[in-house]
Amino acid sequence: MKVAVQKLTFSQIVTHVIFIMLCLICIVPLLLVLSISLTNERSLLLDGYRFIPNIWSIKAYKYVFSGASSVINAYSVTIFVTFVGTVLHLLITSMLSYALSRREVTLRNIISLFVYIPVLFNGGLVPTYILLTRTLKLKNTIWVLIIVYLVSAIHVLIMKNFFKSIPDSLIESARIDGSGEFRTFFQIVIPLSIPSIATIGLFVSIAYWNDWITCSLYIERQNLYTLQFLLQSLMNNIGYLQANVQQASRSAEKLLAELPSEGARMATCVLSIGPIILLYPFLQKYVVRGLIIGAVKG
Amino acid sequence: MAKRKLMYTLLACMLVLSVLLTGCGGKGGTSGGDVSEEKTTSSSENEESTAKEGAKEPPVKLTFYTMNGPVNEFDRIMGKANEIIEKEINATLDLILISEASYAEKMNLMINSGDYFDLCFTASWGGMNFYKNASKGAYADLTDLIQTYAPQSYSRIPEGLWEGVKINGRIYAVVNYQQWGAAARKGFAFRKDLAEEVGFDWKAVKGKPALEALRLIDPFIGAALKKHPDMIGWETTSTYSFFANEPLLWDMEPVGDMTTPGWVRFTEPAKVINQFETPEFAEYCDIMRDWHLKGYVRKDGATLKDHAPDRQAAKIIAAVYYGWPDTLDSEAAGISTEGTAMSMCTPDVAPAVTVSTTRTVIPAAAGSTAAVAISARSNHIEKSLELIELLNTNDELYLLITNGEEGIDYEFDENGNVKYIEGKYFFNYYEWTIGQSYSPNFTRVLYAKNETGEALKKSQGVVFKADREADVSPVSGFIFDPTPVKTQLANCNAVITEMIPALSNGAVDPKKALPEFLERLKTAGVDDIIKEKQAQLDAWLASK
Repeated sequence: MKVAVQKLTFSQIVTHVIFIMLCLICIVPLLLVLSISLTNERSLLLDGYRFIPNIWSIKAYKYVFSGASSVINAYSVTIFVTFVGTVLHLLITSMLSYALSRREVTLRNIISLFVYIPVLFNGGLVPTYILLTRTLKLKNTIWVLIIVYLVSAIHVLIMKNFFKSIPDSLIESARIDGSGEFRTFFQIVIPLSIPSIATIGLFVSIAYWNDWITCSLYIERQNLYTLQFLLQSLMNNIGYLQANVQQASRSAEKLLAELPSEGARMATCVLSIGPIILLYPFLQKYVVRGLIIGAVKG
Repeated sequence: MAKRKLMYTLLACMLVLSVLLTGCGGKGGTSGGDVSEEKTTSSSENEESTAKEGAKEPPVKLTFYTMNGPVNEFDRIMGKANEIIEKEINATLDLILISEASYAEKMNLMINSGDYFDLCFTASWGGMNFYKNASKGAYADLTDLIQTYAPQSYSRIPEGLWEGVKINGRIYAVVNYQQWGAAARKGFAFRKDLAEEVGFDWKAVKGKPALEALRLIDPFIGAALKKHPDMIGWETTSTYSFFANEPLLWDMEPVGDMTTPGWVRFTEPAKVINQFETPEFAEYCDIMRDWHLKGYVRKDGATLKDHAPDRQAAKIIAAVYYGWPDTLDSEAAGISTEGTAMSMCTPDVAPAVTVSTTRTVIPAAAGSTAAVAISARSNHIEKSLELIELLNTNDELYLLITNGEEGIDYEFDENGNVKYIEGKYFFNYYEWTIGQSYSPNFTRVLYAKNETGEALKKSQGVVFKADREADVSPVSGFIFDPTPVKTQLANCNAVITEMIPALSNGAVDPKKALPEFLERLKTAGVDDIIKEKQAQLDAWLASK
């Protein structure tokens, strides 16, 4: 230990201090959120935010879980959507961009154009709504949450550029050895593309995890609410209920006056970070490599 | 060659999927017209298929979109409710709850895309655009049907309220008339304990014009703050101004949207004025500047967005109060005022006394504050109207949906107070979105079975009586069409949202800022707006 300290040069110390500060900037707010979510509501109003609560309370979590089945249900909906959505997104995006990156596909430039046009000109909300609810009849199905994000032009672009970096000769030799297109794709191209797939997978899974707008537009049944949307509705509801404390106190109902509002806001925050935060460490080593792809080739 | 073919197939599949899925909307937009037919056939198919099962006519399924938060054990209560509805009118209700934050957007989207629904909650606030949607034909015209299918709902609602849901004399929605009445009378609430502590004669404020009232309150706030320096004398936020958002307190009435320039005085209801040019506003700004310098208001009040924490922490000394009868009225009528508290507080933390200062008026927007409309595309308009009547007159059904079942979802505790059981069915106090909580016999609300409950009934009795006698706003039924002055309105709004919070908080010196504000409004085209409003109002008055 002592030896290690002596070895540090001045510039190293400065670097370490800077990075320790940066880490603190990232971690401290999270800790504060956690501690607020565990503070008694009244104490929050009177003492303000503190890292160590004056009065501990788990009431915020109790409130969020008071419709326990719905939160757990929303978790399972979100996890299902995130998992299936990410897998399908990766499958479709990689197959599409692989085909677009191959020279033997003659119309690939025109087809690429069709993929990129919606980036600049999209259909708009009302036509999209009509398409999804009337033509595809996806309202109130779990698939609507998945399908709307299945392809992203940006991801196609990144993947296409990555596939271009795979030497043609490799694919050719596979072909000469008698490998079919699918086999070449799944057994040779995909294993080589893990970094880009991991990067995009991370982006996509976070997008699926955080998506609430699709749910708010196309889902009307509580049993299909996603976690983010349910938590947001709960928060709105607390706000509404508090504005109506007056009405409640007329019938001498005390329950509402003690509703945890700030606490619940932070508790929903903690809950919504949830399992997705665990994804990052696992994918990190690929992500670092994956990010370079876009930088060099893009 | 074969491999290349496979490659093309692969690509073609992806392309079809991706084009389909990225939401290419061109085709959807043009097919708006024929989709409704498709919907009609599909729903009549539904009816046929159910018809085979039973000999009697199958129940009609009605969808009803409304605003609400998450509700536990919703299916259990809806099952019970549907037993009643099926027995009474041979229909079933599919109540769809949409979160308050997305309700307006969602309904407008459904209306614009021609999506099918039978009933929906609607209003003229919060982006729900009742007037706009009704005038473009989204809601069914109920004028000729309402006497036949919903006679009791119609007669229970004061005549003045129907003006609010009419367009060109036709009724497009049924008003949800509520237990707390429709007529507005505003005033002030003061912290009871502090008023007693410093000996403030709050009764003197009764019936005073806003400026005089503010001057009377001034010494009280000063004395109270001296004893409790951590409190806040008067609440100011960036989203609410005691002048711009409170026309009634200044004996005025907005023409069109409240915060746009162009109000009328009750004493001079045919002349549109720029409310910011009135001497009242100038003096109000001076008082607020004085209060700001004396520390009666939060220094950052002009930029503050969220007022809830201060209110919950019981920090407010004096505030605007919307409810009535006030403490004086109640005492005169022999009603207990024990339960009165400051906003977002309970009486044990922040007891309050209230006085009302304004006249009693049914505001122009009162009818469209909460209403239920029927979609013009609905296949069951009459049935839907019957459902509205049932919700409005069947107390058992209404109490079931709005409160759940006694003993399971709520109970009366030993003092006779209502107690909702945690984690059970709870309608989040959104009962006003699905029907009338008004009833002549006080049977549609869970009143506490004790003195508080009786006091509430008595005070509501006062309100209901006044609703029938109150002045109807002079501009009730007039709808301002903002299209000719759209640009000017947008420009003025930008100036108003920038300057009003600062002026209302006293953060800027009105000697300099007020003339500047008025000058900028002029440049933004305020005179065109006033002129346009006057012209439309004149035309409307002439046609009456």
